[in-house]
Amino acid sequence: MAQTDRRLTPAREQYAPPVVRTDVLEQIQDLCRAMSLWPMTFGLACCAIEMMAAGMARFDMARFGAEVFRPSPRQSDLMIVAGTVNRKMAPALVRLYEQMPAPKWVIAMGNCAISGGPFRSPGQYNVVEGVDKLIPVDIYVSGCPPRPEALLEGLFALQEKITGRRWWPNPTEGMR
Amino acid sequence: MFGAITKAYGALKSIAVGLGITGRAVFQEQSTVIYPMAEVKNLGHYRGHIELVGSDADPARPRCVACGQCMDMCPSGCITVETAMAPAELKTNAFIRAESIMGQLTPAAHFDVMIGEREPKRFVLDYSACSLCGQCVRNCPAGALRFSTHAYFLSRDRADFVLDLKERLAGQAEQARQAEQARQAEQARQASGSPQAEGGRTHE
Amino acid sequence: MSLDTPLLSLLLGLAAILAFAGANGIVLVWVERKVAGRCQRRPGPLHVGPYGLLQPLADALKLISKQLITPRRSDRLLYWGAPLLSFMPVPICFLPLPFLPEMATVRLNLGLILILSFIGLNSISLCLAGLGSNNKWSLLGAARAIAQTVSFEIPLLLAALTAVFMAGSMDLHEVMAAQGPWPWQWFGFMNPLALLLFLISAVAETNRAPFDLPEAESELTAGFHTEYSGMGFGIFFLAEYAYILIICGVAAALFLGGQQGPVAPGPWWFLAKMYALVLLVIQLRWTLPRVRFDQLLNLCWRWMTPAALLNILATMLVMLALKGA
Repeated sequence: MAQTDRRLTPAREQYAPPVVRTDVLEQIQDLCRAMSLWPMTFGLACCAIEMMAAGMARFDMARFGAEVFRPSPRQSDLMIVAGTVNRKMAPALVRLYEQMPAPKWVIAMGNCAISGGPFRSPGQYNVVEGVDKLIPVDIYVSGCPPRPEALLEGLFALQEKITGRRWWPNPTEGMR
Repeated sequence: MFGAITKAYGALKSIAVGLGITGRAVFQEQSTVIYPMAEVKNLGHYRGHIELVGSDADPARPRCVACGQCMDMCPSGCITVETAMAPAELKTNAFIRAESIMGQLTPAAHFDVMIGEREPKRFVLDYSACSLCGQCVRNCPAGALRFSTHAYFLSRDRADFVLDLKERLAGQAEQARQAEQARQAEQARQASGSPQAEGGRTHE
Repeated sequence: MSLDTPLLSLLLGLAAILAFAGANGIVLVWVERKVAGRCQRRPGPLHVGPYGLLQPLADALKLISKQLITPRRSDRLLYWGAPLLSFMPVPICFLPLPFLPEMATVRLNLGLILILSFIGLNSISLCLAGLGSNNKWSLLGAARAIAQTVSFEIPLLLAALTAVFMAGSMDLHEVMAAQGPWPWQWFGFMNPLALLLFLISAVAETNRAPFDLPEAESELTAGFHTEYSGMGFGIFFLAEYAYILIICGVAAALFLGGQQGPVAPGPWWFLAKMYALVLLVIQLRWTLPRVRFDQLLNLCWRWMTPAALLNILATMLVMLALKGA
């Protein structure tokens, strides 16, 4: 977020406070939310191919309850921004994000969504340099494109962010 | 009338064939890799972000001669190399020729670099701008760059994707040294047969 | 207060039916996702609970805790009435289904008519959802839903009537009793065309793939429930599964002998047949691609309606001939 850009309108936060709120209830709900993150059917570029691969038989996001790709933003919890965000696409993306009901989360998948990626250059006119200029991003998954496992790791990291602990064994522990 | 019946029969038969295919798939072996418990076997072929290669003498010191070819070659400008003079004892009189394979981009097609004259002070990679085209690895005259197998690289903060590759190399060398020590300790323990030697692997 | 009090037994029955419909929806969601996975050679929900069994529970609790959004300039009454209306007929439709031995259920001499007429309310609720949402996708989905359900109700009723003619009654218990214990004594075996027509129209009636045009993702975002978030959507989902169960139960009673079976006839036979049909419907969804809308209506008006009419005529003639002989 270097300088503010007048032509990009970020999403407005719309937050409805819960009717009932207790700590225990909140924890149970967080657990349920983390275990049923329904992503939106929303692919912008080549990273979307890897997103599809993550949903297919080899990697199968369904194992974590995240295969229900909802076509309507009203029914989805998770927006996976998979690909390059153009200025032309930015208003649509912001609108889709605003249409999602709270609580909602965003994974920026791939280098283009993180920072504009290879399209980032001084004076370029059509690529949004990082989707976090438009909407709040929870997890950044880097790669060009990331492997499907990396997206799964992103999902786990999001679950960890929601519930406060990691639920699955970590094969990447010693790796850097 | 007869045509209609054949057509209906054909349609029903195709439905039955389809149901047969999915029905068989139910009992076939699944092609899923149960990821967090198991990984795909060919992950070694994954080419993640670039990393520095350590020199033969000192694995913590990069082979890089700080010629700047990678900076010039990178189409998205994600590499920044700050150079410094190398310690005098490393200096050799050998030269290597830095040749640009993408010749049309740089007018000076080649130049010579003295090995050991300069070294990178910092080697910064902004991975979030990289498209893994591999021009830097391909054009490095000293063979000092390679792709890592760092497949799961994610963060909650996009500033984490700016990597100092020299630090990373030092960390890797330290890790390798500790692993080697642990392996030797393990060997020694097995050779002597005494169980008191401590051989735990250390994770960073 | 004894159990014979009508009010108490009514309340108990209602609670039992609602609990059954809810539990059934939750189990069927799991089954559906598992079958979907297995059909594509992947495990489906696996890690949330043993074999992923807690997955639908997590989904349900999440849906309850989601923010409810009412679109601006939508008709609030229609918008929130629609999901309720889609679920309200479910308890009534469960009443005449022959789950249990005769004395334990409500016995109606027009049970079949009751079920089929109240299932028709579902299409009205889809229409209201589409109208009330103030969304063009919803409206298109609603228009499709009406065209589809109204069309397919005709072959559905004609196929059901065939079985009714063969049994001579509209009481599902009597239709069951008119069939024998062995498969060749079931109406579905004697008249396979009627069973086939009934099943195809049942899939179309419940808006399931390959006939899920009212919610076609690739064309209409999510069709009539595009604007529904959280539990509004959840109730539509629950109602859909309840309707699948009801219509498969009707098919099992009409065409597959219901509680009749070669060994130990009883309610378990009915349940087994019903769930076998449900599994078939689920597998059909994950096997066949969606049809086009003109194909759908052509199938109904040019193929299935004439076939059902001819079938019912032929059945009547055979019945007359048998009676005369």
